[in-house]
Amino acid sequence: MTRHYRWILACCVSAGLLAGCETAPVKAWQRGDLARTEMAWQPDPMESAFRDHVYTSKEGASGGVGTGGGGCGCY
Amino acid sequence: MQKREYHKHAFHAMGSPCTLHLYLDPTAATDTVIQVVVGEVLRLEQKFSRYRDDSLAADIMQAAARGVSIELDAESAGLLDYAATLWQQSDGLFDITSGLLRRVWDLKSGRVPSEQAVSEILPHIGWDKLDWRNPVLGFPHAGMEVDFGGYVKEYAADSAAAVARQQGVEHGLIELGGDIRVIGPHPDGRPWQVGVRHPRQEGVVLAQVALEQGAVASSGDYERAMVVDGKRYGHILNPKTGWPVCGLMAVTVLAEHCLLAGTACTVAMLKGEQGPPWLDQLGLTWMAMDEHGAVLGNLV
Amino acid sequence: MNNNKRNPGALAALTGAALALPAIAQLAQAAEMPTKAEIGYRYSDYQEDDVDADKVLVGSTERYDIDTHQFKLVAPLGERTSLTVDAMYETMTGASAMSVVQPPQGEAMLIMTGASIKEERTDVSAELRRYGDAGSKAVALGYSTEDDYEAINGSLDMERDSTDGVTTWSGGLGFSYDELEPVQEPGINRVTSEDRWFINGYVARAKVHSPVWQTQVGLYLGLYDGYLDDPYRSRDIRPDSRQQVAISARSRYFFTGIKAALHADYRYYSDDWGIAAHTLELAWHQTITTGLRVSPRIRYYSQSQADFYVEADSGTREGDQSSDYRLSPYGAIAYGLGLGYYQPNYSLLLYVEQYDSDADYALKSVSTANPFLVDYTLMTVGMDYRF
Repeated sequence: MTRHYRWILACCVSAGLLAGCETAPVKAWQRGDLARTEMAWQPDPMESAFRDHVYTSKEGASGGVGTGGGGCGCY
Repeated sequence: MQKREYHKHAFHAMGSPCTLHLYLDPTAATDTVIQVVVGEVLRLEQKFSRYRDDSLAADIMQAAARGVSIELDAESAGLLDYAATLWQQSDGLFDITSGLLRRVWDLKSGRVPSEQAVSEILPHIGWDKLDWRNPVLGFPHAGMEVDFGGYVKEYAADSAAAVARQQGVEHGLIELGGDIRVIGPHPDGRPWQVGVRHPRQEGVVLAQVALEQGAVASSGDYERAMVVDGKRYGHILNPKTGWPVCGLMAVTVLAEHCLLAGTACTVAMLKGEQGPPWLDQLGLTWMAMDEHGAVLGNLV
Repeated sequence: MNNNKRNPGALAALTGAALALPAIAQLAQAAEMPTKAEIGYRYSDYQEDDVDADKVLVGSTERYDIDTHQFKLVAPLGERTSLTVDAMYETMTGASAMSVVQPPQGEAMLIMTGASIKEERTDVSAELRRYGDAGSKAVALGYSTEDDYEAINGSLDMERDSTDGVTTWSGGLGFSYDELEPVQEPGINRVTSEDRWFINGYVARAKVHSPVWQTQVGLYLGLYDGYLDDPYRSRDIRPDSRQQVAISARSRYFFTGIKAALHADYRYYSDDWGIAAHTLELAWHQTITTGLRVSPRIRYYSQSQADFYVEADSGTREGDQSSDYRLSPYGAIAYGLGLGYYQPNYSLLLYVEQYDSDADYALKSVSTANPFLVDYTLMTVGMDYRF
């Protein structure tokens, strides 16, 4: 039972976060800093992919945004 | 992919000096790309020129003079919709029917018209006196005028940038008589450096703006003006009073596209001292110099 | 400044009217399609610390060393499509835990695989991404193989920007089909051939708050079905399905004055095996001079144990059970440092990371630590070339 509560709670929290709130739009020409490589969600996708692969195979938890179908033996 | 080459092409259109700054692939047909982009500016110049018999503007002028209706194509209808929206948002100050005032305000003549001459024109001015039901523009009263000249140059900068993109240009800038639309930053990602000129001192740069995207436009009383008995009369005329506006020497606005940047400048000039608060209300990035020479604005 | 009330409605009305003009609508499509081809290479040296000799009852104390070569190619194909190919080749040497046993006296001890094994793993995937007016869609396929293992996987992804460009929705669905054929050893009774499915999906919403701040929140679901036991452990029986859920929040903030970006990433994970985990990662990307960047980071991880986790194996216990440290309660702290030199057509990269796990790092106190908790050192060098 507790598993399911945790599930539902997690889903509700994220639904709330996803809904978000309104702010004034930031214009295209104001995005110079946001476009910098170090402001990306993954500044180095190859390095992120490798570290995720390590964490996934060495830790109990795995998954997250952008997780593709990738498989690994992990034993 | 090979290194892109920088090309600069100067030409004259819409009564102003114009310049294209484009980075092109060495494999691209350079002349063709430049011709197509310049061609887009010339197309709009012809379509909306009041001085050509074969232009759309001439057809509209005829309909206006006779007080009949005319059906418009999607592009001019879009421009009229934009004018209608801006007329509302500017409390009637941005008015594309105000061109008639030029009949009495001839800045080259150096003569100030009489109060009476100006007030005789005013009944023929007012966007709300037209019957605009997209795509049909009706002129219930004969003797009016609709002029796209107040904002077609800005639109042309956007349109030419779009055409350049279609031609595969990703890095470049289009300047039409001081109105600038960026296609994309320099190939190495550096922004374009755009100088904002001082409205009174030729060659003095008031501020420098770095642009990777978007547009910057300026408006000021330096463009076309006459000085009579020590008083300066600019080319921006208030459609409600029929007289040149005062309060600001110059305004520069940054926006996503040149049409918005340019028309926001015009409205700010028309509003005079009320221009800066209006720009702030819109949430735009701008700078201005008031008639005392003080620099205002949130553009650092 | 001034006290004027903002009137974003006016700007929205004007922008809306302008966007009806085809030329302006076209330029508003800020598709972030790669315009240059790029190749990347990374070499990583991953070394696990040896197990304490006094914790090993039988077998080698030497844990995994892994050498990894990664290759990447990104190429624009035409005006609106890009192709990305990723390849990874790993060689592993070392021993792994077969069993945890509880001696009559003292702490639980490990039985390790006898000799150091040597394994290879190859992973290849390709993604085709199509850029539209306000976003992109991608399809990817991959194949991965090890001595005892084969998997195919695929995914669909999409990203969509709102008309004002403030929010970006992204989502994806993925699957993986894995086949295991464990290496057989005389005298050990292992399964011969098993398989499992893995289906996952996520949805995320990114938002630009200011010219220097953006965040993303996401929801992830994963479902495993099939053989999930570890065939190399002497007694390892797990449920044949696993449901995962994770919520994540990421923030990117840029400090203009000092040219530095602060990254904060948090993930909450929970599954129906009873594991709940928190992951928090902070990174600071500091530009030193043009093109030179140093990026220290710290990552904290803590998980609770699976319901069927056992501290020591027993040949007589019935039902689901496993003494795998990955199902035990523990926490881990990783420190990392990145160094990058970035030029318009190439980049040089160096990363190091030290990872330490310990039952004492767990958020909740743990009575008995699993003897196989991993500590490792990771070093990566790499370069990218754009042309």
